[in-house]
Amino acid sequence: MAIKTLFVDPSRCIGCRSCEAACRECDSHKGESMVMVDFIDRGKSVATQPTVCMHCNDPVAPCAQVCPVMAILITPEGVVQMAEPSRCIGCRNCVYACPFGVPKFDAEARLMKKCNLCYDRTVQGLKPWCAQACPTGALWYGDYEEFVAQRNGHPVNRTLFGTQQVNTRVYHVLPPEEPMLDIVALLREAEAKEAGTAWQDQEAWVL
Amino acid sequence: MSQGDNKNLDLSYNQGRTLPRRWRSQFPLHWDADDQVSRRELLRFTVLTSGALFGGTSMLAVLDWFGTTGQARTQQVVAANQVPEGSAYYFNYPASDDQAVLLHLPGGQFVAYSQKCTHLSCSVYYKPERQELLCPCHDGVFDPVTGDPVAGPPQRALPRIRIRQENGMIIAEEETA
Repeated sequence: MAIKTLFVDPSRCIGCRSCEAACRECDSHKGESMVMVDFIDRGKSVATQPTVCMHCNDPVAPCAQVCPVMAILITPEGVVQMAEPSRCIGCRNCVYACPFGVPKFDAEARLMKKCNLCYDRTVQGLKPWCAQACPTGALWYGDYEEFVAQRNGHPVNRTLFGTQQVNTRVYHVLPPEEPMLDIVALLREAEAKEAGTAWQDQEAWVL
Repeated sequence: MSQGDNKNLDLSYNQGRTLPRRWRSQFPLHWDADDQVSRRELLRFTVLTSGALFGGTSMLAVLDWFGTTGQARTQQVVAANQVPEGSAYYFNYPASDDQAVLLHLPGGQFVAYSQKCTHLSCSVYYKPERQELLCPCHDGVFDPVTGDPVAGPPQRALPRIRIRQENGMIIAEEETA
């Protein structure tokens, strides 16, 4: 399956924000970046990570599922589009539904904006702007086999939120010893480190 | 609702992976299933449709221009003494399915018009008691002497048929617009 997609490798991110600058240049959302470079824990670490839309496959696009006006549509390629401006009513359901915190709500435009994997470029076989601009390959565009042949790390497209599993089109690259991305386990670990209180199991929240 | 009906209820709401529910087909998530009409599509449709209407109408106008001018055909209509003064004689001219009317006006003058109302092509009839040609469809009224519209929706005069008398016979010569 040679589906071309993005690979997000936080270990390579140097926080230069080239991806943001490149994204901001795009005419469909001029001046506003759809990719965010997160500074994980600024006081203690220089670690950064680019956040792009993960384009959830299964369950398919929680943002689109909760949209009451079908403003967020999914292309045949499985790319989740930005909210259609003529339909979006600015209810922010998508902002709350997204497990990765991707959709940005533009209060002035009353419109949700998010990464659409540079759909205009990727349907023509070009890289998205962020991957084109990234100097370290922290955002890398290509198919899975190509990635495994060229790079170290362990790409996973499955994220666990408690008992809820989310399969995404975009891959996170983990260190080889990490089998999967289990958010609740990681939180519990962090919590235990901090105070030792146990986390309760979360109920599945996506249909 | 009895207990047994619960089997048919959709209880899959919170069970994780399920088949898509029926309402989802009417509110699709996917691009190709959605019937969004973009602004560009609407504009294209509007421009092309009005262009087609304009083109079609101009073509009809051109065909009309070439088709109807100069239909001259001599035809004997009726003997003049068979149409009493103040009455009408209906005949077909220039073709066998084109209705026309010959009027013997009070005062002895003969005139002939196409019977086709210039509003929506209904047949007009002579009303001698009121001295008018009446189209019953929309109450269009024409002056029997000149053929000009007098009342109602018609805006143009009735097409006049040029006639002459020869040996007591009325002969239609030409329809003039």
